[in-house]
Amino acid sequence: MQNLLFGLLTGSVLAVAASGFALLRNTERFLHIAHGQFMALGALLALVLSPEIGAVAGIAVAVVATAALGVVCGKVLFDPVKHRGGNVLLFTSVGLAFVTYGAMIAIFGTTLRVSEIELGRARDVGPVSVAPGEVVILAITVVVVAGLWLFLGRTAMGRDIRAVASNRELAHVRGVAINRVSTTVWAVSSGLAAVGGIMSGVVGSVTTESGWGYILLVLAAAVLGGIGNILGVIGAALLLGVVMDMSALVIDTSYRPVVAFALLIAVLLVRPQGLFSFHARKEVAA
Amino acid sequence: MQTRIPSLAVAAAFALVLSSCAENGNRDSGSDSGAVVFGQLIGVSGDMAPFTPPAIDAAKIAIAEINDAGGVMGRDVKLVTEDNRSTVDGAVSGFSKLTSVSDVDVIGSPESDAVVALFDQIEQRQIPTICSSCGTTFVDDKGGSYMFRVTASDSDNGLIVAQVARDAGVEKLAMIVQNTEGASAPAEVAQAAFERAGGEVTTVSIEPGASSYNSEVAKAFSGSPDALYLGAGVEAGIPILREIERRGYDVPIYVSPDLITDEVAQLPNADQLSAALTAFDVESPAYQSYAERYQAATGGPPEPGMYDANNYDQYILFALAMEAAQSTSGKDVAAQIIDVASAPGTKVYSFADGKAALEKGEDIDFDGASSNLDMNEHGNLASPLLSVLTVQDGAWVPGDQVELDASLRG
Amino acid sequence: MISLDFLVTVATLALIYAMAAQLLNLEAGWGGMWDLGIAGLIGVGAYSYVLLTSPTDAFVPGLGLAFPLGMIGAGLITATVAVVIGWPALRLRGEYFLITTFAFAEILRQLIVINKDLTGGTFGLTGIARPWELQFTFEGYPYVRLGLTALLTLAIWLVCSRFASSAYGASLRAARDNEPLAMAMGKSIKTLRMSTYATVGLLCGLAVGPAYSWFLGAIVPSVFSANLTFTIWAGLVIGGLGSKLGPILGAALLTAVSELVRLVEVAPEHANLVSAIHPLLVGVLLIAVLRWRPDGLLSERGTFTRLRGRQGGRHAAPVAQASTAGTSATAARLEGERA
Repeated sequence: MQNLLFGLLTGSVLAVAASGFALLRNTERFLHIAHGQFMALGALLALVLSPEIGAVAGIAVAVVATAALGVVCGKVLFDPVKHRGGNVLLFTSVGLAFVTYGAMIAIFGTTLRVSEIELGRARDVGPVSVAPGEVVILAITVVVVAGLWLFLGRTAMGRDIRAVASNRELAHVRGVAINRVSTTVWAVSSGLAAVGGIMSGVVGSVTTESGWGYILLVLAAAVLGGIGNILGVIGAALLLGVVMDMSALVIDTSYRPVVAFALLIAVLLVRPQGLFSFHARKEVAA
Repeated sequence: MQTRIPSLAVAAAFALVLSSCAENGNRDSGSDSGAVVFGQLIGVSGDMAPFTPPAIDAAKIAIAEINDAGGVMGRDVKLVTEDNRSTVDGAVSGFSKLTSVSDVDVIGSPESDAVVALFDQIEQRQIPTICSSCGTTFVDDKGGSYMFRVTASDSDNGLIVAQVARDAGVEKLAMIVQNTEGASAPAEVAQAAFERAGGEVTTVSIEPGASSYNSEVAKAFSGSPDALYLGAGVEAGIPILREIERRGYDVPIYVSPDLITDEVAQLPNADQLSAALTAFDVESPAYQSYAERYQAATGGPPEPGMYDANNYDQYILFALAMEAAQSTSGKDVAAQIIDVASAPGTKVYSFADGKAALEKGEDIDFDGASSNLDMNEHGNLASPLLSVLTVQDGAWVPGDQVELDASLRG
Repeated sequence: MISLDFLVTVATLALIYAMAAQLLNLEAGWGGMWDLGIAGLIGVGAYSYVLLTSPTDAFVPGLGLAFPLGMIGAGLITATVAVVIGWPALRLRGEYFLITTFAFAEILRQLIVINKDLTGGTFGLTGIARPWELQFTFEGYPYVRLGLTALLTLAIWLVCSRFASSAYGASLRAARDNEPLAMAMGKSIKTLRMSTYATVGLLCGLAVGPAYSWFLGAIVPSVFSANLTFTIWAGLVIGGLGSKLGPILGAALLTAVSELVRLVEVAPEHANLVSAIHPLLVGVLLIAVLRWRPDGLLSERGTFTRLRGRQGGRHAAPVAQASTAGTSATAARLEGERA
């Protein structure tokens, strides 16, 4: 049905962003709150650069720049405090979120920005009406997800990343180049944040405030999906999107955000480790 | 070791305080000499942030105009801008700073939440306050002594929607309304009035800041309405309008004043849009002179949805009221604001003209760039004259003027 | 020059954040419960207080109770809400507890918006009456309000202090650091945590909510957003998670810095730069403190002896350090048993 398509759209944008978040969480072991701000940053950069150098170049530069920023932050801000544990890392990320937010206000100013990219007129395809641009968005998501899966599953670096994610100390002992893994993960995660943010900007609009809203849903998707399984997080993101959009059919739309969070709570109560996690983590529940 | 860093931080805070002491140090405490201080309490950051840069540009134009004409009572006007962070606590602390540290004589631009929270203090401290974009119904009958506004009340904005829809023969009206005070208040008024007039309304609410609104749009149109009312800001409004265009919904769309902006006018389906706003006359000398300067300063024309012209008008009004009162005391200035803005009086369209007329001993009636500014005894815009704007060739154009049908008030 | 009025305003706000930070410290610092939903509890407290004390003929009608009754009532209501949230949420740990409390806070805020007949919706509650407001001039009243807020802050500090040095507090911290051991010693962790969380709710409703309402003069749902939670957390972390005075210092420092920045005057078109300073400063402070003084500016001291976070587990709280030799009998017993 139509709302299912809507849900998949919402979910895919979320999935791209959440996959980067989950990647970082699995290997670096903390919740990167600033991820939401990176999404907004990527979107703003693309929107600001596009009039100068064209949409495609603008997007490319934005993604690369955000990825680079992620790597630098990883090295300079997070690696030095790594040994202090997940909570210190979390709050360092909160600090970075504030800094990025402030920097965006100072550099870009607060005017609203709307993407020039049009998704095109919708056509009826079977039971649903879909616009060409929407198909493109779904396609991009599929490409990103497939690419991620292939990367993690088939490449040497991907194998190393999975090793670090499952047991960092053991991987280190086995000779995995932890630093290179770290750099790669930061780059990919931040790049995915930028892509997610740009997609969100194309579908909607972007302001300097957007980052705080993004991180709410990304967190929800990540926790709902569970630890250790990026595909699980992607699935959870799609599920969240579908549930939010399908709920519009039966209840007042002002309840839409409530629905997402209520679902999250309900799932966590029944299956505390998340929907798709196969590690029954002892620390999760009492 | 443990005490060093806290004391470093305290020392830093102290240094900050001292350095600003040095900046403000030489100002006299009385208002008899030195600059006249206008305060601007506005949302530089936070949810209102996208609307603020044009408003600030407009304020600067007003201050420059005043000072170029010799200032108020021969003294220069200085504008101090404080960020209210679009929050209540930001407004409270910004107000405190403006009144106690900056010694402002008047305050302009606060938004609805700030007005509601600070109303008592404004009255007690006797600080004339004009707001340029606060539609809150709170001020409908409480204003007039120290609180004034140069924008229509949410209730009027709501009623006019019902009127225009009814007069166009709409029977089923769908509404997409943003879940914020500024959008939901007019929508509620519109719904009540429209239903009283015999129509049928279905409402769908949205939360601003979501990444897409596809399902809400679909829901709104699921009942095949004759027309749609969109009450939202640009952040949600533009994506929604694009979605409407994408799906090919071809009904008239009434939008709230917040959407009267350039970007909205550039949308492909802009020809379906109409909006009602307090009538402003593009032929008026005030508008033309302001628009020219605004274009020169920012590279674009004024946008009613950004309330920039309203922001300009309020500072000119303050200056004229001070000239009329020949004083900067809150009580004296407040007493003049309604007179200076409203008929009867010699019509003036700029600060210089107004000042000259006042010097000749005439009563004046300043017609501003955003409207003729005539106020009722509650400091609200008296003129029920609204203009219905539509988009022609990628720009919003005022069309017919409409008088508010009082029977809709119910 | 610096006006005393402005300083009074800043100080009042700082104390309100200090109260909230202390309560957060109680549950998160000592209890190990990383609560991202405290803004929701404060919101419930503020709304309950205002609705209980608003006159019955106000725009959004209230019950017209006197302010002490309103505070107690708000405390009880918020404590109840905390129990309702805590019952499912406390079954979870670490990041799961975090996101659950976050989710509940958002749900609470949405419910406030949606139920506009009860709460005024986005219009909010206005014209909030403050205690003894009419007995003082409007120029003098801010000082009275500051005094009242300071008293409340002191009261909370006393409560938290008692917690810290009591057997209850020691058990809480033991459960935080080494749950299996604490359970083996026969303490009911679940009850411990639930009552702590409920107490935080109680005090949010009794003190923080009302005090914040007196400061603001009007409350709207957007006041109690995630931003508030993050700000309180920032103040707590900077000041020192787990210490007794740390939360007060951190919150005060953060508020002072954020508001005193207003004293730097720039041309209007650069106002966005000044507004950017606030989050930039908060972020930089957070990052810097966590890097070089991860325990915060003040660390756990006083009656606490050296407790090390033993397991490398997810919710190991920052290491607590003692600076004085004074120990309570209970803490010594704990130390002795462990050694």
